[in-house]
Amino acid sequence: MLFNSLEFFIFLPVVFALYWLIGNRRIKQQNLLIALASYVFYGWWDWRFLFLILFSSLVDYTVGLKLNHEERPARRKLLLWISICVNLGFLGFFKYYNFFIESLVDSFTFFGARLSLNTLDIILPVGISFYTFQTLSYTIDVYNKKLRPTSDFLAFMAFVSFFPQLVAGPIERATNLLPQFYKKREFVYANAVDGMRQVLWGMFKKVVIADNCATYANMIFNNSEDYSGSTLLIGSFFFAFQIYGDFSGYSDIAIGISRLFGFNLKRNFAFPYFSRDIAEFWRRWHISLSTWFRDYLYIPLGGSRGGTKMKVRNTFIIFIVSGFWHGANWTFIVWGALNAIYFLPLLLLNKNRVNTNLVAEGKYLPTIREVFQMATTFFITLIAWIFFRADNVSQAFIYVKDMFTTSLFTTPEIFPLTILGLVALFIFIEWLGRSGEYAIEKVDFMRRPVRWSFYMFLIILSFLFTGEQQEFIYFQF
Amino acid sequence: MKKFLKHITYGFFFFVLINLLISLKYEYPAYKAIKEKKHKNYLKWNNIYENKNTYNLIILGSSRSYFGFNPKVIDSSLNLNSFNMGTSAQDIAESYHSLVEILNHQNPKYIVLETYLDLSDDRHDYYQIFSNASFFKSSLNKFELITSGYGSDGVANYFVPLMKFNNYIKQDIITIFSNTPQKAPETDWYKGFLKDTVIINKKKIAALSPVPNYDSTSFNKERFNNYFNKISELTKSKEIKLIVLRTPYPPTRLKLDNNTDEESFYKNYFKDIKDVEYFDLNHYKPDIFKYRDEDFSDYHHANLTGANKISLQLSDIIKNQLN
Repeated sequence: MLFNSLEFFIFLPVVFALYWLIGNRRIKQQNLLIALASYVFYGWWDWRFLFLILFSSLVDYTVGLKLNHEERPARRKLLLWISICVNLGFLGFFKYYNFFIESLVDSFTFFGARLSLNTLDIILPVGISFYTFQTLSYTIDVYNKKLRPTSDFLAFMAFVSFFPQLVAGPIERATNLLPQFYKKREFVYANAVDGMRQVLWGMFKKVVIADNCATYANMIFNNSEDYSGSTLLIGSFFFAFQIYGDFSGYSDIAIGISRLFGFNLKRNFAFPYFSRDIAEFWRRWHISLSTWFRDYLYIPLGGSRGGTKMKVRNTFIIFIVSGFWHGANWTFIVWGALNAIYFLPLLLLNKNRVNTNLVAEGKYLPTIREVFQMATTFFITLIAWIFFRADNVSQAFIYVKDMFTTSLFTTPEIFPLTILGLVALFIFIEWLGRSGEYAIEKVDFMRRPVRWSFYMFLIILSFLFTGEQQEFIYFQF
Repeated sequence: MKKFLKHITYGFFFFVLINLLISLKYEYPAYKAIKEKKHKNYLKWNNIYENKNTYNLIILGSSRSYFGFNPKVIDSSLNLNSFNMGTSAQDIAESYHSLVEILNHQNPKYIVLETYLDLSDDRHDYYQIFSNASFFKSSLNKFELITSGYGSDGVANYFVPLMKFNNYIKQDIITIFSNTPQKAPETDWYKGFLKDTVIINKKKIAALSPVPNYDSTSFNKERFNNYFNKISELTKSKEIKLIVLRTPYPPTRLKLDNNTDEESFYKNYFKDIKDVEYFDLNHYKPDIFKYRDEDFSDYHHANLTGANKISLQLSDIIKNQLN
C-alpha cells in the first residue's frame, strides 16, 4: 500500500479510530491491532511475503530469548550467527542471488572460461533491507547485553512490522522503538498536530517535488545520449531532488503517522543539501542507516581507533557496503566508493567533524564562504547521484563525460520552469525551517488563520501539481 | 482527542469548500451548455439515444478522430449513415465503455477505432473522461468505467474536483500571467465531426516534437491489449466489422526522427489478429492521399482539408479493402 494512495487514505483513519477506541489501557490489544494492520498494509502488495516477515520475527524473538538464558560465549555467538545467517541469508537470496551469479559468470567469461549457471526469476520483497536491519539490530543489542530481550511476541511482531516505517524506514533500533510497545501510549494533541504537519510536508515532498522531478529525471536519464551537457546537468539536479523528496518525504510521513499513534521514531534526514562538506552530508542523510553501519559495522571493525590504514579501510568498507545495501548493481558500489573518496581527505586531515552546527545558525542568509561550501558539496553529491541513478556503470561514466563538454554552457533542451519554480519554493521553505526537525515544524509563530492558509496552500499545491504517481524509490532497497 | 478531531473536521470542511468552489467554476459552464443544448458530448450522446438503430458506421477515438472523420464525406461516398463519437482525450478504456453504451442503442455494421500511443497510456484527463461518461444512461457501465477502468485513481479523481480539474486550473493560472489568446468556442459540428479551417503556421511547424514513442509517452501495452481484446470480442459477438486506424500526422513531424515505436507497435500487433482490419493512414495509398503540413491545424489535428482526405481514405478502405 502506498502512502499516497486512496487505499491508504481509507486505511489510516480506520486504523487510527480503532486504535484509540481500544484505548491505551489495553496495550496488548493495541499492539495486536498494529501488528494486524501492518500485515494488511504489507500484504496489500504481496501477501506471500508476510511469511518471510513472520519467520524472521520468530527467529529473532527465539534467538533473543535463548540469548537471555545462555551465558556460554561460544553458544551465545552461535545463536547470534544463526540470526545473522537467517536474516542476511534471506536478504542475500532475494536481493543479491542473481547479481552474484551474473558477476561470477561474467568473471569466468573474462578469463576465458565458461560457467553455466542460471539466474532465477526472483521477486524482491518490498522493504526487506529495512526490516532485516531492524531485526538484526535487536539480536545484536541483546547479544551485546544493551537490551533485555522481550518475552512479548506480539510487541515484537508489532515492532518488526510497524507499518509506518516497515517498507522504507527509518530503520529503528530496538532500544528506541521496542520499549514503546510495552508502555502506555498517550494521545497528546500537540504531538498529533505535529505529526499531521509532518505528514503534510512529507506528502508535499513526495507528490509535488519527487514525482515531478522524477518525470524529467527519467526522461533525461533514459535518453541521455540525445541531450546536451546542460540538460544532463539538469537531469542530475532533478534526480537529486527526486531522491531527496521521495525518501525524506517517506520518512516524514512515517514519523508523522507514528506520532498519531503515540510513537516517536528517530529523525532520518536533517536538511542534507545544506551541508558544507561531505562528512556533514552523511550526518544528515539517511541518518538511521548511517548510524546503523557506524554502530554495527564501523565500530566492531575497529572504527577510527587504529592507524590511518585501518581508518581508510573501514571507511571504504562502510561506504561500499552501504552502497551495496541499496541494490544489487555495480552502480551502487561505485556510488559508495565515490562517497568514500570524497570523505577520505576530510578523514585524513581530521576535518570530518568541523561542520557539526547548523549552517548560518540564527541568520537568514549564509556567508559567501558557506554558499560556496554548500554548492561544492551539493555538486559532488550530484555527480555521485548519477552513478546511483544510471542503469549501469558505463552509462554513468558516459553521462558524466557528456555532461562536461562545451554543451554544458548551452541552453538546455529541457527547462521546465514550473517544476524548477516548485523546487525553488521547496528549497526556500527548507532553508527557513532548517532549525527544526523538519522544515515546517516551527510554523506556530504564525497566527492561526495564516497558518491554516499555509497548510491549505500546501494541500492545494499537492493536488494541483501532483506528479505521475511513482513508487517510493526506497521500496526497492 | 476531541480538539484534534474538531480541527481535522474543520480542515476537511475547508477542503470540501474549496473543492465545491472549483466544481462550481468548472462544472457550471458545462451545466449551462447542457441546459442550452450546446454541450458537445451531450449533443453526441443525445444523437445516439434519440436516433435508435440509425447509424451504420460509428467512429470512436480522441479529438484526432472528431477533427479527422467527416461523416458528410463518408456518407456520400459509401451511402451509409455514419456518426463520429470521438471525444476529447478519449482513452482506450473509455472507448470500450462508450462502445458498450452505444451498442445498447445502435446496431452498426462498422466500428472505426482511432488509435495512437497516447490513447492507452497511464496519464488520463479525468475531466474529459468523466464528462463523456456522465452521459451514459447505464449507471453500471459508468461505475465500471470509473472503477475497473481507472482503479482507485479514477475514484479519487471522480470525487475530488481539485484533482479532476488539475490541468485546467494550472492552465487558467498560466493564462492569467500570459498573453495567450482564448480559443474560440467550438461550434461547427456535424454528426460529431468538428470542422476546423485553421492551418498550422510555420512557427508552430518549426516547434513540432517527434511523434509519440515509448519514451515520450507512458504507453501501457497491457492496458491496450486488455481493452482492445474487450472491444474486439464485443464487436465480434455483435457481428460488427472492427476497423482500427492510425490517423495521420503533419509530414514534417513524421520526419523529425527515425523512431518508429508507434508505427511498428500497431503494425506488429495487428499482423496476426484476424477479423480486425488495421491501416496506418500516414502510409495508406500515398500516391492518392498525400498529406501536407497544410492539412493540419496543429501538431496532430487535421483541419477540414485533412479531414476530407482522412474520410476519403476510410471510404476507400471500406470499399476496396474489406471483402
